[in-house]
Amino acid sequence: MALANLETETTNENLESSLNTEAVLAGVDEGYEAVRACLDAAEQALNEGNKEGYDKRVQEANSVWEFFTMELNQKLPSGSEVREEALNYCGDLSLMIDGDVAFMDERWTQTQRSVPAEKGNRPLMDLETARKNYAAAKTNVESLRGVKNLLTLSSSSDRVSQELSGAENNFRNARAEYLGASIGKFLEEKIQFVEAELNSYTT
Amino acid sequence: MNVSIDSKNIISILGIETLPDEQKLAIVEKVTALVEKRLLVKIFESLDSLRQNDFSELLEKSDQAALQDFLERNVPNLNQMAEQEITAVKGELASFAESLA
Repeated sequence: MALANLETETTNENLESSLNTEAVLAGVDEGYEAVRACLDAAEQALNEGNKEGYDKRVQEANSVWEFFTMELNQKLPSGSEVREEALNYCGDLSLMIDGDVAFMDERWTQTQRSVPAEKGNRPLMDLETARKNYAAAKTNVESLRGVKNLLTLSSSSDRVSQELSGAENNFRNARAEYLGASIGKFLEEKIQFVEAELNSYTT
Repeated sequence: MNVSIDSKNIISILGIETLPDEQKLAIVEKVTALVEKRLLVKIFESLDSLRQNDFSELLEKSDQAALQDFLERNVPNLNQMAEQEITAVKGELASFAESLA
């Protein structure tokens, strides 16, 4: 793994000479992917009108990215070319993240203007939404597990552990919702089938 | 006709403990509906054609007392049939949930 190489190499005395720009940028991409997974989960929450879930996911995305860039900043040798390039790249990605969040915030504001919030019981989630949420939560938790593994040597890994714990919780919930939606559909199909059978006796 | 299902057991079998309560309830209601309808089919299958017509008419009238009386007289193994259907549905759900895991 690229970031793992970075981790190992940053502990090496011959740090600057051993750093490989391509590997570092690939590591940045991995960090961005973890953030992207959080933002995808945030978008799903927004689509379901779950503002609390949306805020939580956006906060997660910001924390992961902040942590990641801070680590990068600390580990790359100051004044080096690879550091400058990596931080520039991170700056571009930060702009993309901010832009995505701003776009989703605006979408939520528009929704609030046009549709009053609904209250009441939540029915079983439709299968497709549940499947997407589950996939997003799974990607998110796997990415964070990867980031945590890569940073096990760092004293700052406690913070990622906290992020991971939240993501694991979200993953369990998304999995249960996916199971619930799948089972609901399965039961509906079974009921339809047995109703047809029953009709042959009662009509 | 009411069938009693151990909802905690069903929720545990399906692995949906962390779902919100109203969603768990929706699932348990669907399971109960499925078992009830399948039990009705089994009852029809166990009756001769004349009694099938009687049973059908009683179901249409929704006369619970008459239905109970009919079942006591014509379906002596009703409890056993209900248990079998509950077990069968639980088994099918467990297999389905396992296939998703």
